[in-house]
Amino acid sequence: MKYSLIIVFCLCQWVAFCQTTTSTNVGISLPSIALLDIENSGSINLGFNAPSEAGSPMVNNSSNNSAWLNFTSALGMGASRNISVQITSGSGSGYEIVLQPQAYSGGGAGQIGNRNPLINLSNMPQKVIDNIGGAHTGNSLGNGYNLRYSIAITNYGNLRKENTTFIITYTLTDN
Amino acid sequence: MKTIFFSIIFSLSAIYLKAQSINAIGSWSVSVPSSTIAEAGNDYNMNLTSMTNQTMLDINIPLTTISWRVDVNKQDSFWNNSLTLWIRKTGDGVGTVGSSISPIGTIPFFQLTNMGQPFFSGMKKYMSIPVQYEIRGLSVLIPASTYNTTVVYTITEY
Repeated sequence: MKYSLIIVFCLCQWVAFCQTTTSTNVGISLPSIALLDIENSGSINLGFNAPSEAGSPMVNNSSNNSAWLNFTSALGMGASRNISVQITSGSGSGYEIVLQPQAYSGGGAGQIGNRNPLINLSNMPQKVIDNIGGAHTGNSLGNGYNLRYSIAITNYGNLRKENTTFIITYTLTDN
Repeated sequence: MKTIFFSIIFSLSAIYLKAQSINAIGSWSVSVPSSTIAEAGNDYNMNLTSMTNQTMLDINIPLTTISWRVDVNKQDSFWNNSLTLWIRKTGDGVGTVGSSISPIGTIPFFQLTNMGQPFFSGMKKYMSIPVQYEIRGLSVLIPASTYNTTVVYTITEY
């Protein structure tokens, strides 16, 4: 009986001692990323057609939806971003440029934000996409938010025959 | 007298076994540059791979021919489950006379989990067994932060 107890005790020691561990650390730091791009960012032309009948209004039959907004956003937990738009150069009288971002489409993923479906552009920044989290829209045409531009008359009395160039600027910003 | 004799024998055995050790030299910390993604709209399209000898394992089994096995697991400190950590042995290190290790040479990466998995096994003392890591699953959907885990190596004699 005495021997049994001793053996059991010593076997316990064996079991306890037959494993040894060591360890090392692995770490990775993921950065904050904010990338914004307009696919087809070249010039677009918008205009009015003169009416063919005296007394009729001018017809705006020009719109353009060739540009796409692509972005990649990586940011800290719980944070969000927005994309704002504003006219940074050029002004017209009697009309305004209207932006209608279309619903997101493409091969991206993540928290791609909420669009403002109708914006009358001005020289003041306005949010076009808000609540962007960690996301990527996909790159190139057909990915992201399709941007539809058109123009609308606001005051016939102020309309002048003119060619005006506007620069429209998009900015990705932390909320 | 017999009692004392057996007691001494078993206790010495226990002390003897306790003399085994495994030592890991070299951690791995990597920062992903924000310039990694060059084009808006894209996600990461890459894995991060350490040097082939990022960690060197030394196994000390003095004066014995006892076989051993190394198991490996990870213990997360602050980790994101979308990130997966992979590990492999890229060589055999240097063994003493009569030593052996299995599998031999470079083995394929396998994914580390929080549960222990067999890594490799052998006999006798081995030094400088090279280990390589790889992190997969990078995405901008993972919150920007620093993530850490501990890789635990356990040696068991049998």
